[in-house]
Amino acid sequence: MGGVMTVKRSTVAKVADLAALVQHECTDVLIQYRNQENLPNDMGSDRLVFVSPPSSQLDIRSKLQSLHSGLDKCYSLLERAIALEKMELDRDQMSEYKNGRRRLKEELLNLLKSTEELLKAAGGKPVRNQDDLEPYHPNNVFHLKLWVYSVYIEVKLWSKTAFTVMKELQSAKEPLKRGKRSTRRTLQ
Amino acid sequence: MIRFWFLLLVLIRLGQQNQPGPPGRSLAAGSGPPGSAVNLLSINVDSSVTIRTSSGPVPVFSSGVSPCGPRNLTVSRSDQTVLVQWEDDASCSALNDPILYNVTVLVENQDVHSDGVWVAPGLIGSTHSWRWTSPVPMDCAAHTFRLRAQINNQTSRPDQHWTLPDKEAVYSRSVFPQDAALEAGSLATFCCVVPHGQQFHQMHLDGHTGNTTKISEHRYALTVRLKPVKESGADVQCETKSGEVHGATVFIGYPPGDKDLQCETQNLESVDCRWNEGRNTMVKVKSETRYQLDGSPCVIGSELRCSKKVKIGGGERNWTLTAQNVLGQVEIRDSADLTRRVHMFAPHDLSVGDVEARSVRLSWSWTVQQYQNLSLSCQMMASDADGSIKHGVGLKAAVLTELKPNWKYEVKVRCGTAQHFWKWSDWSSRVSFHTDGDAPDALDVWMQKKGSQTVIVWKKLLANQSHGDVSGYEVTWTRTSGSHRLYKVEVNASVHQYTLDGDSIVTVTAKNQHGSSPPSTITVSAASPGTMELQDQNETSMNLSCFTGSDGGLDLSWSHRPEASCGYVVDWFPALEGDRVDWLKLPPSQNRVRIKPKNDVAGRRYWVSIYACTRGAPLLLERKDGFFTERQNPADSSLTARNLQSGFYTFIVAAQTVAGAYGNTTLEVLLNDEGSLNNIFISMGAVFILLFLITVLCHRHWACIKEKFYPDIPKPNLADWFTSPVKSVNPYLQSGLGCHGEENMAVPELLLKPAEPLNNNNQEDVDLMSQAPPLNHSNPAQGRHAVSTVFPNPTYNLPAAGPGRPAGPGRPAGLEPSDYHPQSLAEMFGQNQAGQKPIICVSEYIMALQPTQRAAQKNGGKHDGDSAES
Repeated sequence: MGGVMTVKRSTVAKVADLAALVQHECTDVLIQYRNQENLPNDMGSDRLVFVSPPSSQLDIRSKLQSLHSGLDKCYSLLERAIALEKMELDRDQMSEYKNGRRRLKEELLNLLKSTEELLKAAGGKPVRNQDDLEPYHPNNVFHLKLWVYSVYIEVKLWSKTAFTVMKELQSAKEPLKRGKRSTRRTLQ
Repeated sequence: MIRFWFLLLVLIRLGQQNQPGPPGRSLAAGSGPPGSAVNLLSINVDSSVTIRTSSGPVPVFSSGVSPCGPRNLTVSRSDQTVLVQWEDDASCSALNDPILYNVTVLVENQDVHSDGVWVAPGLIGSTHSWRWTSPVPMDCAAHTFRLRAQINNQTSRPDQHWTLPDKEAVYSRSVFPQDAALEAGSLATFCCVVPHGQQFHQMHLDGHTGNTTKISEHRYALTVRLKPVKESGADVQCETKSGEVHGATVFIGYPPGDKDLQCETQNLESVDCRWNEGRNTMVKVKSETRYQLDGSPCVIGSELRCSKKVKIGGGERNWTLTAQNVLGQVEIRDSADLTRRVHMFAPHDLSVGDVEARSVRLSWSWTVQQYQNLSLSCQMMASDADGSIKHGVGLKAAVLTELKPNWKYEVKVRCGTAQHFWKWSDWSSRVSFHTDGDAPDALDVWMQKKGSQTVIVWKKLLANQSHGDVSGYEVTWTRTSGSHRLYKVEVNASVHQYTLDGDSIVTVTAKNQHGSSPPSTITVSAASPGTMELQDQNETSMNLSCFTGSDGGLDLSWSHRPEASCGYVVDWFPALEGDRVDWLKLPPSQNRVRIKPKNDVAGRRYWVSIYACTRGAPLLLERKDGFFTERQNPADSSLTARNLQSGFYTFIVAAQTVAGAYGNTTLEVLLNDEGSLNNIFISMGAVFILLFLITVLCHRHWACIKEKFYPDIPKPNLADWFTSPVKSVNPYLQSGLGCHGEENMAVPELLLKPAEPLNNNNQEDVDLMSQAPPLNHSNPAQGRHAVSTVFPNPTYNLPAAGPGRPAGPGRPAGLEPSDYHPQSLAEMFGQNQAGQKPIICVSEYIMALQPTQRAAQKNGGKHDGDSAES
């Protein structure tokens, strides 16, 4: 097929909105989590996602590739964090925090899938994270809490990155190209 | 005696060693003389107890250092408590003296505690132990336990020591204890190990700082009284000055507080116990509560319940439930004879058979065969029917009676033991069925008079009364006088009335596919119910009154009447024609009821009547008219508008009637602020001064002015007709008015009284007429003096509406349009009143009569009645 495939700018705008939504939801969850666990507002966190952030020097496809990898890792971490919290700490009934946590997971998955679609449109191939490492097992409950906190920080950071990348795509002149073939997808 | 010798021995030894021990640290008790076998009792500061026996002579070593001492030292711990164990060196076996083992505890190389353990010669060679609880978290700081022996004041060979915890364990974490479950209310110490290169800033538990102490250069302790925070644990955080946060989560809560154990049996083979949890332990994340029933572990699901196989029938016995978590345990008991605590399973396989119009047969089975031998009570509950209870041994079937024909039911059953009833079983699953149809119930028949005719009315049968689809009605009647011929007519199912002429005895029946209803009979007489005409015989005894309802209804009560052999009937219908009568039939014992029209509209006027039900025609006892719901409060005669700004306003006041807003008065008001008021006062002052000057000028030239503008006029001769005052009363203000001002309005007889002078009119008359516009009198004297005068009307001689003639709707009682021709002032004085707008003030409303309304007033006051009614 030698046609030109395009991605509407409105689609990119929707993904940008989705990224903003995830960022907003994650901020809320972080506030609730800090209050719940009496964590200081300026507490630092460990880095858990070791993916190079999409720098401005990269082309669109590489940016999306990097973003997708980061979000994919974030989603895996969030899934694990929720599972561990349920296993180790969830005695309370439904709470505002748990509802927010559930919404964040759903919206992050939406963002991940939307980014994946854009990546495919740009000719990229989604790569699943191959975690050779053992899944995280907390040494103690406090460490689990800190780890969960770090997961939320990562989600917030990568949703912010997603928003920035989408804004760049909206203003980019470069069309979304698909590999070596002549099929082209351009932003409209 | 033995104790005495042993104490003496110990005191001598202690004196020889000159070694002061900590008070209460070590006590010894034994039996037998020195050198014989004795028992040593060592009590530590934490009350741990070690009992030793020893025997044999005490050797003396020339070098001053005894080779006898501890060996194989081991230290084990459980949380904060350590157990130190050791053996005696083989060289000690030759000793005849007791050995004193000194235990020294060093925390971070600081000597924090020491203790002594005496070992009697007879116990030499066995394993010795010492127990101690550290006030500092064991993981937080290195605890070193040093042990050395003293024999006859001589120190043993080099001591043995043991350090806890393992260094790796200590330095891999920063805050201790980790993930511990601690009891609320207790005092706990948490420890923070500040990493090298960092400086301690603060410690807190869930945001609350407590007493922080420094243990060593890099170790700090926080001591707080514990309070439960949340089930997911409270965090102990240790912050460094560089902002690093280290922490530990602890779970603060309580031992189990379960209570209210109650045991029963369901299958007659095992005991089932239930209980309440009581206070939340708050540590379930860390330590789920474990339960045992009489020593057997319980598997707890979503509800607190535990079962155990037992033999039923052994009489009353005790059941003990133990609830335990990491913080403690509780035991709760129940005592029961399980044969008296049978909580049956729900009946199984409920089915329906022999369905008839008013009964049905139910049957079910039991999953527990032993139930067949029990005397049972079973309750059957059908939707739309009260519960029915049946008894029997091993009851498995019952007949449900008094059901409604042609009715859909859902039925369920539950049972319990009839003897020593304990609890109902759960309900069985529901089964539905439909009863057969039957002939309709008797109709509720009444009547309504319309002119010379009588409308026989009956209420449509409800679904639970018709017992099937009603196919039609049959109306039969005979005349009460003359021929006794029986008339018969079929009425369509959709029609619920039939109109007759004359006095009759009427019977109505309803029919459906299953038959005809029992007949309902009513006697129609000359004075039938549901009419405004009253029977002559009742006029004197009947009570006619007015009513105003409350909350859309009316509470009625009346005196019992002996004539009411079959009860009472209360009926009501709107005064406006076209609306059907509604009624209630009451038993003879009931003399009060609250009625409420179904589709009442505010401001709609009703007639309400109470009848005695007799063998013949109903006897009217009481009649009322009035409103169930008033549209507004007619007593309101003033309204206040607030928060108005200065400016010009127009207010319109209108009366709300059934037909809508009626009559209105317009009031125009200019509201001024303070500045405007000042201007007005200044203007008024100026006008006053001007008037004063004009007055002075006129006074000076009065003769001239009088001559020019006001010459003397000769006095007229007054005619006789003008010298008689007449008392004219506004019909709206008469005390003898009807319930709402429009009925029973007897127009006053206006009598000419020539003997009384005009100026004797009372103040009421003046007030009333002062609201009318000035009249253009033909008499010049009246024109000059402008006297407020009431003028005589001619005599009407109209009958006042009495109880026997209530007013028709929209018309004053007793007045027929053809009867009432009030003579207008214009007719009296031959002057045209057109263009004048008299305002009639009623206590409730202010109305400006329009010309057409005035015309109506002239033609019999019909609209007067309307306006007053509303």
